[in-house]
Amino acid sequence: MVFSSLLFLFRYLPLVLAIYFIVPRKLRNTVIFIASLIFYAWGEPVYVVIMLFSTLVDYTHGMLVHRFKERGDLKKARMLVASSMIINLALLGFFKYSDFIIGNINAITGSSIPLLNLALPIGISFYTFQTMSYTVDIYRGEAKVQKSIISFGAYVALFPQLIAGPIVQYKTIAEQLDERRENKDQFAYGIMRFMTGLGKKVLLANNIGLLWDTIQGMPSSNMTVLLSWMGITAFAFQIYFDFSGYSDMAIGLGNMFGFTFLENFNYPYMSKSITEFWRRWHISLGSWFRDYVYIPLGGNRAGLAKQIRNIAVVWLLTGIWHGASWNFVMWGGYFGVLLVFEKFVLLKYLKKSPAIIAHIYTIFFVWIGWVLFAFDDLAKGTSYLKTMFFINGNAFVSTETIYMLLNYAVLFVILILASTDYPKRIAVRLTRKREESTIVSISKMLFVVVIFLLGVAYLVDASYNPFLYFRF
Amino acid sequence: MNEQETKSSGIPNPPPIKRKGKHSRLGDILVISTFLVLIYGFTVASLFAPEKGFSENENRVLASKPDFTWESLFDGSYATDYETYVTDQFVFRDSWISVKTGVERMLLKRDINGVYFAKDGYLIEKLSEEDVDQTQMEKNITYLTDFIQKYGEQLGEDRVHAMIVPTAYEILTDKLPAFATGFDQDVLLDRIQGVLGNQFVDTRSILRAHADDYIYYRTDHHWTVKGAYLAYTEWAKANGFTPWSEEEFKIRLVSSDFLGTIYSKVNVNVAPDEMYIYDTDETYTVEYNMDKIKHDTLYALDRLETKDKYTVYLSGNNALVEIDSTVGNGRNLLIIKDSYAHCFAPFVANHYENVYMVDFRYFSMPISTFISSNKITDILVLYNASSFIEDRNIYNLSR
Repeated sequence: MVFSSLLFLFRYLPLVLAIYFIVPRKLRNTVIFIASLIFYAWGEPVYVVIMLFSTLVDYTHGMLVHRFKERGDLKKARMLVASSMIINLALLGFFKYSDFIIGNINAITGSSIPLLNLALPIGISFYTFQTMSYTVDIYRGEAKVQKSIISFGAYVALFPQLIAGPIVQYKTIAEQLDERRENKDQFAYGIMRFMTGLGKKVLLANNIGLLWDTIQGMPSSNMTVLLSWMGITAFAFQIYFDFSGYSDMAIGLGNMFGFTFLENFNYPYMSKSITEFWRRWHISLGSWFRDYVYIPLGGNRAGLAKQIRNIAVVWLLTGIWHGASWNFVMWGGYFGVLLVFEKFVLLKYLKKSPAIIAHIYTIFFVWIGWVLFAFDDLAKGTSYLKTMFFINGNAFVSTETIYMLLNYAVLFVILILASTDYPKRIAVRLTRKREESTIVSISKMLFVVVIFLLGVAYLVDASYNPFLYFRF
Repeated sequence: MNEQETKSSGIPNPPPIKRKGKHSRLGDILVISTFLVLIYGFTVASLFAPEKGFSENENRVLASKPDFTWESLFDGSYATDYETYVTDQFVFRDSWISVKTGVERMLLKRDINGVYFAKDGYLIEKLSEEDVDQTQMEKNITYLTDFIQKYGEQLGEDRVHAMIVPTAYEILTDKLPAFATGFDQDVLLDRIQGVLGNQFVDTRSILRAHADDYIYYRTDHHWTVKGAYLAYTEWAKANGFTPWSEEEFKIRLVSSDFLGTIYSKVNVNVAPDEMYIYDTDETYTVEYNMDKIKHDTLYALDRLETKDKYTVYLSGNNALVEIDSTVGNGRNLLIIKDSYAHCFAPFVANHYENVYMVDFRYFSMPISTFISSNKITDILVLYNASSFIEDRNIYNLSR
């Protein structure tokens, strides 16, 4: 199930909210757990078993790690952490990467091992990372062991963040799992946040996605240079509003149920360097790799050579995490190289240069990255890049290009504004010291009504409602 | 990637929520109650609204509640079907579509759901180059030209014609939004004409000359009777007949509230279309699908009470329609066609003893059998350009 669907808004959510707030507090995690399983099983009636398996594995591993640590048997505790990682990575590897590996073996050795053609279980990239983090946190003593399988199950399956993150590290919500107190203020905040996300996804991402679909599907003879830049800009906005909208909805729903998740996006397209971009984009993934890969490998404290190696490892993994295909590896590697270059050379110049230059530099390289990201097929991606840089000999502009530009001009302006923090800053300035005034209260209510009605209108109309992050 | 740096970027983690204890703010209460009223209100409404079967506006059967089986639950089809059901049966469905169109108009989009918002209240279908299935189109061109040439040799070149009619997009170019582009029908028609020569009835110039007249509906993908009449004069020339002049018909306005298929795609407030009938004093006998029921009129006026008013002309889509006239020249015309022919056939009926209209979407007999067993002397293949390139039944011309 996805949040931006009539089914979620008018069947699932009303039902779950009602049951959740009717039952006594001690049963609420049970409600969350069961509701989350239904949420997941709705789209994946069979694969839900894999998620339950991963839950059970780390529940027992966490227990055992805890016990061995209490006895001071660190060696066994460490072996169990390794076992948890092996099991989770094996699950992820089998379902996500086996065809990729087989394909590559076939390509290299000329063999013809048949592909498995497994459907990717929804959210497996997210929940395996979460369950692993739990066992590691227990080992490190950063979180207390969870004795209740229900509470632990509720953490893993927690439907707001189950299928597309943010990746919630166990230690950040351990206390909330057992001791949260839902309250009106947080519920109201959750609604505002959910509506923001719904608007981003349904009104912005889906709409600009139509333009990207059109341009992506064009025969190269009809392409123009300007169109190729418009296309990748459309993709950049689509993926940002899609993904950050989903995170907003997740955070909003979490708040309704009394959870506080960490932020996942912080206006990434306002960044003035690639380094900054990655601190603002998909923050929960970056933090995960930092805490569970980069630092354990020695981080930046084991000499320059090792630091560069560590950066390379993290970025190749980040790339391949996004999809089992070489273009994602390249995408990760591309950013790894840029980040190393910035770190040792460019960053000091960027700090001195005018903000506009730094912005243009960042957007340019992020956009090129999106071309690598968008095309599974390297040949198509390369051809698209060539069009962007006049190498394919396409015209700069055509009648069709102008038509599309005019057609999407207003939307582009809205998208540009919405990807900065200006709307938020203006809202904060206008409401400062008047937060409890009637006019602000009514404006908030109108915001909910308008986004809700427009969102539903688009959903009813939508034959077009795909979720990009379903692939991960 | 630096531990110290990464933790200091000033992200509001967790989001600052001021707790006010017992005295919640007015804003919170308003937001919460609004949200709950909206989701529960629409949930209850959509649960209790009566299930709709056929949507006239969308011209399709809406999904109904799927039957539950364990099998369908486990293969995921129950989930998919249930979701389609909720979307299809959602309350005020048509109004939501209007809201969406309204928003897109505010965003200054000039085409919405594949429809150009053209000048003078025209809604014109958009067919982009990318949407065209080139292989299908190439096949259809070959089927058509082979068929026309083959029967031209059998029945005489002046007896067998193809008439592929350009749609509003190609003719009403002045009304389209600036810089609008789409599939170039001119190139297609030039190609067919290049192969068929005189056996191709070219309606482009006469239609273009009357682009300011009411020759296409504003809200429907068909041409008007006026458009069909103009094409008829061209067709008559190609066949060596003198076309009837407009004065010889009694032109009647039969409806002024026609909202056609393109309207349904956008559901926006536009002026409805007018529909006319070119009546004569001639008598005809019309029989549909060989059902032995003889009708004495070319028009099904009761259809004007339905949504799809265009079916007033020869009762809409039928596999086979036979029109007998009082003409006694021994000539029998076969029209192989799409729905553009429905308001065109009444004109040509005055020149033949029998006119047969065959629609390959519903007609299954091999066409060669039909031609020989019905003593066909003349043939016209009549499609609009847009349906001609997409139609997957045109291979029947080779059967």
